[in-house]
Amino acid sequence: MDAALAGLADAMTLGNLLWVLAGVVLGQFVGAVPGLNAPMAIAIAVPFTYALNPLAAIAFLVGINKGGTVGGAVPAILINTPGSADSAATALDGHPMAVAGQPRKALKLALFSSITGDTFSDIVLITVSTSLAVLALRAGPAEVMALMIFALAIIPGLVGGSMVRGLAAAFLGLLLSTVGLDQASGTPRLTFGMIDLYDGLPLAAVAVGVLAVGEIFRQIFAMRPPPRTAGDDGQAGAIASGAGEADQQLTLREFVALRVTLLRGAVIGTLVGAVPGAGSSAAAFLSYAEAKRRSPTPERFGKGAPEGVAATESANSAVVGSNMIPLLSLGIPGNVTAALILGAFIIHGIQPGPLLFQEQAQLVYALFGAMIMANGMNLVVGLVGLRFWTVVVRAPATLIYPVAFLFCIVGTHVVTNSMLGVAIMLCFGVLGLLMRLFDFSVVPFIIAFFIGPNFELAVIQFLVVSGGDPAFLLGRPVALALLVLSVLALWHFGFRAHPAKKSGDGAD
Amino acid sequence: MLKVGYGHRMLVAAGIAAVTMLTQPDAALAEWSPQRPIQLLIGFNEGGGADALARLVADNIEGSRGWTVVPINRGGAGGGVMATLLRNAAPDGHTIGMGVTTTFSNNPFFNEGMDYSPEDFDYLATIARSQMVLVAREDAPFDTLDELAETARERGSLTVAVMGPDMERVADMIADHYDIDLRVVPTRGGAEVLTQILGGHVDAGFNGGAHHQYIRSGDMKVVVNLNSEPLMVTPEVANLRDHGIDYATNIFFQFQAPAGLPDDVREALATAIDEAVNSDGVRQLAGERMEMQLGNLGPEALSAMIMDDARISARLAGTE
Repeated sequence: MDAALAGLADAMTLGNLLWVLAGVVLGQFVGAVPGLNAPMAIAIAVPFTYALNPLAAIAFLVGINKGGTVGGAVPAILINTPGSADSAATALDGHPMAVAGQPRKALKLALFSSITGDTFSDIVLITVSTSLAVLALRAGPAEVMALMIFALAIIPGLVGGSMVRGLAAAFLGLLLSTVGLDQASGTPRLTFGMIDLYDGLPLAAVAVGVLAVGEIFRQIFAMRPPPRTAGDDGQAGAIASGAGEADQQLTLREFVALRVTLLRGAVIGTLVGAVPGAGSSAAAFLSYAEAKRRSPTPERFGKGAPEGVAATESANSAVVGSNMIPLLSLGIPGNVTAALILGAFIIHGIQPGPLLFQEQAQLVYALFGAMIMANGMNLVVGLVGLRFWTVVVRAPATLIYPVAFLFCIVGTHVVTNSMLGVAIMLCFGVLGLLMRLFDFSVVPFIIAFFIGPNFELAVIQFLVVSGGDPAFLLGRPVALALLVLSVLALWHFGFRAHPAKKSGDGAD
Repeated sequence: MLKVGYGHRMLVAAGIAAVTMLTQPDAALAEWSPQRPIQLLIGFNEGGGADALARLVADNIEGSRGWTVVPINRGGAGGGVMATLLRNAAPDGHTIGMGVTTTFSNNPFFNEGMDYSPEDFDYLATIARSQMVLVAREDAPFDTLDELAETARERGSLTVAVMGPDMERVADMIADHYDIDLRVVPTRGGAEVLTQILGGHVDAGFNGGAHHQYIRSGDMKVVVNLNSEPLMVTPEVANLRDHGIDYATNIFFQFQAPAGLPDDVREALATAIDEAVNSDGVRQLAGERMEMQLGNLGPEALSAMIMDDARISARLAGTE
């Protein structure tokens, strides 16, 4: 208890407060600018934090991480160009809300949902971190594999009109995720002899290309030659000239009505985030699927349902906190961002793991204090920021999309350190455009692409560990249950819902 | 006009320098310094401990020599991306690389498509050694490699988590030596090996540093030492040679340049890096924070070691 109080006191200094604030502002900014993202900023910032004291350094990086998830919702909602797989689901309902004249309301909803999810997982982290980490360890190759099969089974049915097209997009994503050295034997696959592809297609280039650049291309091609007349201003202009002030308010009553969705999202995000190697990208979608499944009016999803935004944002932000659970108590990073922060810990002489809470309890509590501060500041900075971004987006579409395109090129070059990365991003931009034109959802594609390598490895590990014996699953009830649910989900989306889909296609 | 004037002065200065070098070759030998910023190709992505280590050495060289060293992250293919770029750079001292020993001693022999060989480089210095071990959970029914083999025979097989093809070969050597069945579970790296062991999903696994905390906390034990010298944390554990397996891993963080550096350039670079490697900041980061075994082998011993290891790799690759 002394350590806890001393740690919190350590955290509450003006210096730390400013570092957290700087991190949150930077994180929200890079999250909100299309083509830039928080992992990028953290990777670049880590070496420079060497000069700071450990607490300020980690607080700064955690601030960037938390700010980044809030900021990530901004381009997804306002101009339909999510920067990462995590915020791809936010665009599904957030952007229709913005187009319908409620951009500020959608941003506010995303912000409050995000903070709710983040705070929930932080509380879990602070209170039951160690025991949850031990529980999460019991998720082995069988469970991770089953969880990913489940995610792949529900995602194609979730978005777009056609399950077959969704599955086709998902399998294309899986196929492209196999580019690079095979994880078991080190054999190069689909690299065409280019050593730069040995570690696979760069994640950032593919995500920015398909999600952001594909949409930017579509918007640019859709623009009419004389863009000055009011009606031809493109979608961004349509957002700005939307509804009045009253429609932009998010009332407490509305927000409280979403409590079940928010809580469910936070729990799903926390659980998926705590399992190392399960891939945080799946969490937002699992939450979205669950919200849609339980909704009395699932047909509103994808057309601007506030529950859709609440479900995804609470889940993808809960991952941020719960990723720290295996990181702090086991020294095991759950995703790319956590791996970067682990690197920063080690650089500062802090070894996360079983001894951290004993040897450096005060520092751990100081870090918790910094995380709580970051959540508070995320709210304040976010409220200021959403006004700023809704003003920015009032610029004509002929300006917004080309500038966003420029940021995508610069950001990709920064993170991949090569023009090849930019070329790959442009190719995937074209792929994203084609997918949009031919009505293939890019969402199953990007999720499958992100979880592909983890999925493949989990399958290989499962085959080795089980010795190829299916009876092994009988001793793994959680994995078995997830596999059964996957089959049910495919049946549900593929057959039972088919007649409804038919009529939906006809209406289009 | 100013620019032209400056250019003239530079020309004159260069001329004087050239004449000085021609007339005083011995003095020039000790005084090589770069004509433009040195590019340091780091064989790791941004943000990790290895990246920080490389940047710290670069900072130290800038401080002690007044040179400009520009760190450029070129991770990927187990250092293969960095090695390929470095091989194709001019051997004039303006491009150097930071990577890990096995990128040169193992990868060209075992990984397809690696378009370089260990002879393509001049090796300059090591920063520290990463000590490799085989670990198991504390409650595993074996303490030594012999007992592990015994358990494998009783059960028919054991699972071993590896962090890459290098360690997979070590597992195969152990299995061959004892004539047992070790099922190799591939992972994304050292941290995941520990996850699989702690979760009880595998029987044992390889590691190179991150396991120290679990040894100290009593959650894990070291089964065998893969190095030729005793371990820092558990010096009493036997190594592979003690068990009759003639193999030891040599994994250092190290610096190298394209082959064919002029003697004075190599000397100047090796000396500058050696001083940086022995600075307090680098020793603290590598030794205390990253828990590696410190020490610069120097250009000759490092080259000899890599060539020896490369011969072993060539032999192993030939039999595969």
